Amino acid sequence: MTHDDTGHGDRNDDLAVLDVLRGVMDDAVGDATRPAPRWDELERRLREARRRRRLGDAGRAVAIAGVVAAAVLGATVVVPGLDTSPRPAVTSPSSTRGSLGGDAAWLAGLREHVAEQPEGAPARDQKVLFAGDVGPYRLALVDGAQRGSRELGAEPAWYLAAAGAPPDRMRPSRTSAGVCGVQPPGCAAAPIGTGSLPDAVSLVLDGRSLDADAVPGVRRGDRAVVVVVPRRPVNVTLEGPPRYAADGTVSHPRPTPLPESHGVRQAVITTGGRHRLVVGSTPSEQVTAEIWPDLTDAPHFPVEDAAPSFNGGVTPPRHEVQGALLAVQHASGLAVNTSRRRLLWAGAFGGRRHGVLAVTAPSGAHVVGVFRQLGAPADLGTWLTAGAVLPAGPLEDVAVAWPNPVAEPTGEAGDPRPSGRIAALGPAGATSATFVDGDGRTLATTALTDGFGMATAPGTRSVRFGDPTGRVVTTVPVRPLLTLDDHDFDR
Amino acid sequence: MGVGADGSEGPADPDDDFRQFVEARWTALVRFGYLLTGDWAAAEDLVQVALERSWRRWGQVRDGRPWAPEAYVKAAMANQLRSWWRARRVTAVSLAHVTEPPEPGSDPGPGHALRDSLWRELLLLPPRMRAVVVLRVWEDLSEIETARVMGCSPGSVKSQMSRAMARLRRQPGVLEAAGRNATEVRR
Repeated sequence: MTHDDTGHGDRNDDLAVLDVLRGVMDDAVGDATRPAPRWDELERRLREARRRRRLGDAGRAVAIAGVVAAAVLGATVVVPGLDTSPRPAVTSPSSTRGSLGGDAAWLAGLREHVAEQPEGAPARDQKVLFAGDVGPYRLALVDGAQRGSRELGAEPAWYLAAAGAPPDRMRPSRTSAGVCGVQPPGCAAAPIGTGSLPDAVSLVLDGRSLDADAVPGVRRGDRAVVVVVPRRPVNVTLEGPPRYAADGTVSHPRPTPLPESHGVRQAVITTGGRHRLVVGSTPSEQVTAEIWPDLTDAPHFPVEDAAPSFNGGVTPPRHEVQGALLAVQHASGLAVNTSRRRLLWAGAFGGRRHGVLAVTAPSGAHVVGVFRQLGAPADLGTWLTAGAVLPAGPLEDVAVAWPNPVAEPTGEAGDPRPSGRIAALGPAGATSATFVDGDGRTLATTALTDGFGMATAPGTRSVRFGDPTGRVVTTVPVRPLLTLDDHDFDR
Repeated sequence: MGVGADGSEGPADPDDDFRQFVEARWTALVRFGYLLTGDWAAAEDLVQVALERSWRRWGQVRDGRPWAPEAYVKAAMANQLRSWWRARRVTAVSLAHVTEPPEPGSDPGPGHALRDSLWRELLLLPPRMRAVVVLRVWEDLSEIETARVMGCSPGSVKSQMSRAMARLRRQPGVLEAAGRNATEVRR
């Protein structure tokens, strides 16, 4: 590819990429006709959805009306779980929460600034729900920032700049998707945004969402910021990352209430690993967001020393190892900079690509993920993992065995059907695998290639790995598959 | 008889009008949803949620206030996608993590690899960025039209598109293949 000095080369390349991308989209949707459902069925679903929404809206309206009425009457609004100082209504222009809530000049300046943006709504139509400094950021949450946004049901918009910035430095979040859940490589690029939670509007800026351009001096992946603006009384807790003991047991720190300040719950997280933000007072209404201060997107995820394959086999390209390791790291919940990563083995069997990867905790315990492709080799879909937590020890000793299921149709995830095939990856020096049932009977034996072997042996409960002399090196149980959807295998 | 959602004469009853709109545009909306989600079932769910939202305002929507009906539904889909994505606890993982050596004679060729790579990367884009790409490339909307649908500024659309292109160009094999195409473009 060539680029000329005028940049026309880039533009031509972009045109070419777009051309191909258009073709990709054409191919993707194909000739699918997707007939509309029967009208009576669709109408029933829509009416049910409308009914549920109305019930929800009614609940929120009652809550907001109560706050508005209290504000109008000059009464003190007490929000359990928050401080008991008088708090204005979120629907009033003078009700801005946050450390800048009382700075009328700054707020007016912000509204004017927002109004000057393309498609910006007039200042009088905007409501600044929150404004304040949180860690290195100055953040503001503006409802009705854009013309027509209310009619569209769009969520309030976040603006940000470095702490202490004047109003005209506030920038709209360039992309939106703040409160994201588990997003292995896909979370990759969750930038900045809002999250409409049942009881609150929240913002999470973490390693995946950091807008490095907006706040100079804040490095990608070195901290996370959480802001929750409650609409009504709500519990907000934050839980730190799991801890893996050397014996392979896992513990979780107790969730702690998020500190409240100026009518909002906020926190700055400077330690790595998976944190869980839970908003909601009852299990049925709780919304969980995961926060990773140190987990960046795939291109930035560190995989130094992770390849080549520890036990031999195919060594995939770096970016592919990166993606898979990112997923296992995510499943482990471990901080990136205190854990180590390694591809143990990769290869193909049964027409599917497979990989075994390990993330090693500070204690030496290993979180092992087995990746298996669903769908045809060239298709996009879901990998399954057989997750396992193994006690501390050298990587040479890591051994795992898992049932190799029959894949679901291309592109569809779901419960894999058992096939009776058992896959096994042995420790260093192992050359054979013996598949044993619950009574200790041998069901099958196979030689290992690059430490890996597989046999059709329904009823296998454990696998014995042997060396060339016939000595048993180790025996491991067959671990059931967990999908990445069940990423909580540390629990 | 009144004027229907597509501008043609049709029933004046909003429900009938809405029904006609759904029956006429369902496939197009689901295709749009598929490009946003990469999953047919999710696409249909997305359409349904957006239709429910649109139905409530159909009296206004069918009159093109503030959007043409289909644009309104698609805007609602794009917004809903963002909400889903945020609340989502699971995502599909790219399949291209471990590479199987190609079998002799089975190489589908660089064009196939490029398309696979681009499709994969498209689905890994953040939802808002992905929606911008789909609107600009698939729907062929202008930056201003896309900005209206997305509820953001044209500058933001330009920025999103630029970042998306940067990511797409980073895909292995994309630059080379695109370079070949670009050479043809320059000719």
